[in-house]
Amino acid sequence: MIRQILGKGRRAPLSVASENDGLQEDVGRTQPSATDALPLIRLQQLTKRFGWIPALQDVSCELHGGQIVAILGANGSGKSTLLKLCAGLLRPSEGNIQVAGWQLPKEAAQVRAHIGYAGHEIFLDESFTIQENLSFFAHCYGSAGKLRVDHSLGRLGLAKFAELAVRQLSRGRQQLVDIARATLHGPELLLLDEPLNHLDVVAEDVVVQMMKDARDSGSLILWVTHESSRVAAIADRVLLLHAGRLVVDEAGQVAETDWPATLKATLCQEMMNRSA
Amino acid sequence: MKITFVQAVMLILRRDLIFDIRNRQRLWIIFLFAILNTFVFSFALELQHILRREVVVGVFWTTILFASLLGFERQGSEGSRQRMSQAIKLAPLPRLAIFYGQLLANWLITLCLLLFTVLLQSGLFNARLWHMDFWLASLLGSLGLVTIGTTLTTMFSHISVRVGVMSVLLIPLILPILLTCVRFTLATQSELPVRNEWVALLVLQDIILLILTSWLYPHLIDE
Repeated sequence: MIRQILGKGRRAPLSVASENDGLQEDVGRTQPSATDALPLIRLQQLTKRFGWIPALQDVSCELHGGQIVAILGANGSGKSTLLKLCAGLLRPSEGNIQVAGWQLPKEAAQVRAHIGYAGHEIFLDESFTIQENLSFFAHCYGSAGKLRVDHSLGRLGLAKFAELAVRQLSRGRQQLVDIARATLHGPELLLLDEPLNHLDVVAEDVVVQMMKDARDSGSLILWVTHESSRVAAIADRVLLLHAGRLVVDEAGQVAETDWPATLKATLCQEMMNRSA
Repeated sequence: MKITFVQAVMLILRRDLIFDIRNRQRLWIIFLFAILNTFVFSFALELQHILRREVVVGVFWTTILFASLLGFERQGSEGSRQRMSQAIKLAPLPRLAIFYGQLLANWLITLCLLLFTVLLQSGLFNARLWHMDFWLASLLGSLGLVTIGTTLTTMFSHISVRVGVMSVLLIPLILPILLTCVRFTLATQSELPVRNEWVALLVLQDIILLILTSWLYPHLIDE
């Protein structure tokens, strides 16, 4: 089910999942090509400061749908900040963010339905059951329906825990439920901040497969991670942040030369793995 | 299938009420404060019946104000509620629907507190609290109180010094409406007819507060 955002020709195509396509959300979507489609995300000289401390400096890039983009970098390099800016949870200090042609945060209302975000914190009510949490968010996104919630729970292997309160679950399962919440409405832009943390091997594979499925259906997945071993196997594109600056984009074009040797070595290894 | 404004309001209202009922901490705090405050004043003010009727208005509104303030501070510091609020921020719900849903939930809880306090104090202070005008004053006054409280809770939801800041800001902001309520409810304690000016003044203040906070809230919630 495809819908062009009407009214402004510059907008990139976004599909809208409806209640009916809950169980076949991947069917019928167009997969934007990196060359002919408008970028789903366009960052222009994006800067974010917390007080006087710069978290992100002068980041520019364009990202298209149908890709898994891994964002690497040391702790405090600005990865999570970048994700929150793309989700509209933070306002940029300088520069522009466009999602599907809409300016964030000014025009955030137009794109909220198409963004899914799962961060470090679990965005769930701990006193509610899994079913209640997901039903609430399904209603919020206008995709009400037990079928959609059940499908999401089944896909992540959570169906048998549906009636348990979130506080009764292990941290790993809570994380899975949060990922289910973020993906419930079949978002075009999926923002995942270290989604594989706290997960066992089986759950990791389930989440990775879910990311691949989303990519294949035309979604853009921004994946913040430290797991360089997984990156080579999964990601279509790699962004490396250092001290808030985008130092490497995709094919290893080095924008700055003073980034740490450990990160450089890691990335070089990943690039070699990818090319192999 | 886009959710309508009213559906969004009801969705938030229902969630907030269920959250408060299940977590209970906020409800315990405000109702316990109401009981303690009423009993302390009841023992402290061993006055004649006529004087008690006038004093009870002050005791009543002090109880409601500080119990509500404790409730708002508790609401702002609940981690689970704050995390859920972040997820709600991400959802394509109209910002005003989120505000009105939270406002209605807070108002309903405050109305329960009002009823509870009236039950307690009408017996202990022998006051005329089951009076139509008294309830009108309480409804309008509590609406103003929760409008400011809900807005401030959102404003300070990410600030760790919230406890002090909430009190410092809420009390001066609520003062005009609180003084009107006290004068209005005091008038209901006498045998004389209540002047319509008090009602008009309260309605006007509520409307101004609702317009201002409705304009302010979308800016507050988005950072």
